[in-house]
Amino acid sequence: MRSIRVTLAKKGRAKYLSHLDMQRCMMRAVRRAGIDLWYTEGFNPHPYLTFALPLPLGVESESEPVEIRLEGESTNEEVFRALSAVMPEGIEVVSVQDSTAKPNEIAFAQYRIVLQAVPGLAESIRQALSSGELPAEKLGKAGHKKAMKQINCCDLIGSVTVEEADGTVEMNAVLAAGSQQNLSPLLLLDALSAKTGEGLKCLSVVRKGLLKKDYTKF
Amino acid sequence: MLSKKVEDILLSVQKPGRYTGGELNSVMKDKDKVDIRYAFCFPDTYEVGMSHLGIKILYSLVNAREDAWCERVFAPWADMEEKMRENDIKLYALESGDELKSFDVIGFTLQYEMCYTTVLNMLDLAGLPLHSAERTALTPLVIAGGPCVCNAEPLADFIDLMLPGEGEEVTNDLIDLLREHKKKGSSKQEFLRAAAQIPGVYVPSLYDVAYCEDGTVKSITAKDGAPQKVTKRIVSDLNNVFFPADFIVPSIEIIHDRAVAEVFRGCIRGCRFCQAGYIYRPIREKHADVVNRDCKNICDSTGYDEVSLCSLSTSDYTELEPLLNALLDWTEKERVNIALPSQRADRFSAELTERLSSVRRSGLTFAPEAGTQRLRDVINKNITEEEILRACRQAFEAGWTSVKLYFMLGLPTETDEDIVAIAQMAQRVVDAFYHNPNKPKGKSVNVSISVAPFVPKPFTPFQWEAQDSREELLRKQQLLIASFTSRKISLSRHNTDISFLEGVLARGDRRLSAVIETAWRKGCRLDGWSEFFNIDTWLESFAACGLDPAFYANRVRSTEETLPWDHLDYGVTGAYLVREHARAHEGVTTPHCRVHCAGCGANKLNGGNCDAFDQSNACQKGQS
Repeated sequence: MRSIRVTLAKKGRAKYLSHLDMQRCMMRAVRRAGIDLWYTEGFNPHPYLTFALPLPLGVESESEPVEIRLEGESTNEEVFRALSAVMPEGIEVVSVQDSTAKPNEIAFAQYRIVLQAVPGLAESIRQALSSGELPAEKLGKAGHKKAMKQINCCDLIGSVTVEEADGTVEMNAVLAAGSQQNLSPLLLLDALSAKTGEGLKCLSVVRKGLLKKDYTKF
Repeated sequence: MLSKKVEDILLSVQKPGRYTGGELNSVMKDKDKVDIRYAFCFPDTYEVGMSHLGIKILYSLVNAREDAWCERVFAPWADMEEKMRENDIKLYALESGDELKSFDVIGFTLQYEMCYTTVLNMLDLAGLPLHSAERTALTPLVIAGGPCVCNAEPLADFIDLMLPGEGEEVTNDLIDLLREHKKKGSSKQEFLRAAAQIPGVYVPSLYDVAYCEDGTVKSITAKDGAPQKVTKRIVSDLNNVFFPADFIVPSIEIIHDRAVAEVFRGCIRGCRFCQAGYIYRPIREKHADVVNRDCKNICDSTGYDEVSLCSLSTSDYTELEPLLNALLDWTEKERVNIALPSQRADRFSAELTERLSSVRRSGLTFAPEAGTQRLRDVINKNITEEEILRACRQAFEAGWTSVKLYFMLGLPTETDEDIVAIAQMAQRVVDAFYHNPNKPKGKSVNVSISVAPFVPKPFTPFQWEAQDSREELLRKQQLLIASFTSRKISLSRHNTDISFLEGVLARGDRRLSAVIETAWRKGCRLDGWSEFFNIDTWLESFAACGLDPAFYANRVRSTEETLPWDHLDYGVTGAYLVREHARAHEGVTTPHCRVHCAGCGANKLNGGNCDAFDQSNACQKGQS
C-alpha cells in the first residue's frame, strides 16, 4: 500500500458540485481508470480517498489535493494518465505525487474573489476590512449540538488585497482554513455585504491553493 | 451550455447540480448537423428522472442516430421555478441549454398519474400553449409514452400523440416519419393522420368520445382513417434489442445511483391488482450472456460499484443461476455489488443474497400484500404465511435484523379481519426473530410495515372495482395502528388523499383534462410530493368543472360498461380479465404462467410466442 496525492482543478459547471458529490465523482473516476485501490480490512471494507479540505459549493479551484491509497505497482505517471482520460467535464487532474503532508497541517487557503465594480466599492471594502470588526454568523458546535455562533471574520484573515481593474474589484485573500479554524470566502462576502451595505455581485471565487502555518505550500 | 441568466440564479437555489448538465457520458452534438431535436422530458425532479431506466435506453437509442439529438429535461423544484419565472428564464434542455420551444419533439414519459399537472407546468415553463389544438405548427410535437399511456385520456387535450407500449422500435419509426414530413413541409394535421397509421401510435384528437347521460362513456369513434383499436408495440426479441453501453453518470446523488440491466419484460405471476403484471405481457427473457455483457459495459463506462438486475420479479428469471455465476466471475474481483430487487418470499435464499453483496448488506423487503390467506388468494398473490415466515427466519439466521413488509389496504372483499391479520403477521415475524437460537446477543429486531391504499388500474382484473373512499381508508389505517402490539414494529402509511386522486386519474376520461388544467392554474404541481399536494385545491377544481371525483374512484363498474381505454389493445383480452375478475370474487387462485397458461391473449403481440408458454411445454416434454 502507498499513498498518493492527486491534485485536481474544478472549473466551470463543476463548481456546482458539493463536497460529497466530488467524493462520489472521484471514486467512480478511479474505478473507471482501473486503478488498483487499497481497501480497509474490516467487516465492511472500504477504500481510502479523502479530499484534504472541503470546497464550498459555487467556488472553483486550481488546486484540490486528494489523498488516495493504492495497491500494486503503478507509477504516479501511469495514475496521472489513466485518471486524466476518464475525468468528467470541469474536473482536471493537475498532478499526481507521493503523499507527504497530512491534512491537519493545513492552516490557510488562498482565494481570488472577483466582484462587479460599483463606484467606491474597493474603498468601502478596504475600510470594512481595516475596521477590525466584521461580524458573521456561522453554524458551529456547542457541545454535541450544532448552534449558530458569532465570529469576527477579521480574526480569521491572514492577508488580503483589494484592487480595482476593468470594471471589477479583485480581492486576493489568505483565509484561515482547516479543521480547527476555517473561514469560507462566501461567508466573508456576506459579512462584507452587511458591513458596507453594498449588494455585492460576485463574478467568481477561485481557490488558488492551500498553505501550511508558515505560509509554505501544503 | 448554461446561459448567463441561469448562472446568475443557480447559487440561490437548492442542489444547483440538478440544473447544470455536463455530466459524464451526456451527449453533445452540433445542432446544425441534425434534422430532429428530441427533448426527453421527465415530469419530476432530476433525481427521480435520472433513476429511471427507460430514459437511459431511449436517450442512447435516439442519440445513436446521426440525424437526431436527444436531450434531457426535468421539472424544476419550486425554488428554481420561482427564480425562472422571476427572471424570465424558459425551460431549457440540459445538454444544449436551448429552450424547449426550438425542439422538434417534446416527449414526456408518464410513469405515474400524479405527474399530470407537472406536464402542464413544464409546457407552460417552456412558453408553449397547453392545448394540443392551440399548438398549430408541426413542431414542437408533444408526445407521451410510459405505463400511464394505457389510459392517459385525462391528458388527451394536451398531448398530440401517445405511444402505448415499448419505445425502442416505434420511436425510430416516428422520427423517420417526422423527418420526412418536416422536409415536405406538411401541416401538423397531415402528419398526425400519417402517424396514426404506424402500428402502436395513438393520436387522441383522431378519436371522438361520446358520453351517456349517467356520465359513462357511450362510444369511442376513430376518424380520418385512424384504426378503431390501437395495439401497443412490443419488441419481440429482447436479445437483440438496443441497450446502451453507457449511462449518463449524474454528478449529484440520485435515488437509484447504480448500474441497471434488464433481465426480462412481462411477468408470469398474474397478481390481480398489479397493472405492470398485465400491460408488459407477454413475458420475454434476455439470455444470461447478454445481460452479463450489459452489466459489464455499464459498470466499465460509469464506474458504478453496484448493478441491479431489473424486472418485475427477478427471482422468476429462468437463467438466474448461470447469470449470477457469470457476474460473480468479475464482480467479486472488481468489488461490484449485485442487487436483486423484487424478490419473492417463496424464492428467497439468504445464502444467495449474502453472496451477492460482497461489500454492503442491504435491507430485505417482502411483499405479502394482504394479511390473510383468503385475501391473498383473492388477489392471486400465491404466497403463504409460512413461506414469508420461512424467508424471514432464514434472513434472521443469516444475521439480518430488519425486514420490511409491504401491504395494501382497501383490496376488493377486504374485511376488518384482514387488516388485523396484517398486525398479527408482523408480530409473528418479530417472534420468529426471538425464537432464532443463534440470535445475535444484544440485537433487537425492526419489522417495518408499509401500507399503501389499493388503487384499481386499467387492464387489470380489478379495473371494474370501486376504490375505498378516503374516509374508509383512514378508518382502516386507524384500525391497523390500533392492532399493533409491539414496539419492534414500525408502520409507514401512504397519504390516502394522494391515492384517492391517483385512483380518479388512473381510470379517468377526457373530461378530466379541464380539471387538471384548473388544478394547475390554482397552483398544483409535483403532486406526488406530499409537500406540494393539496387535496382541497383538487376538490375545488372538480367542483368548478362540475365533475364528481367519486364517480371515477369509488364506483363499481359493470363489466358491460364501455371504459375510457377500450380503444387501446394491450394484448390481454377483455374475456380473460373478466374470467380473472370472477375467480377473484370466488377466492380462487390462478397458477402462474409456467405451471399453466391462463390464455391471457398477450402472446398474439409476439406472433403467438410466449417465453413462459414455450418453457412450460419444454418442461412437460422433459417429464414425459
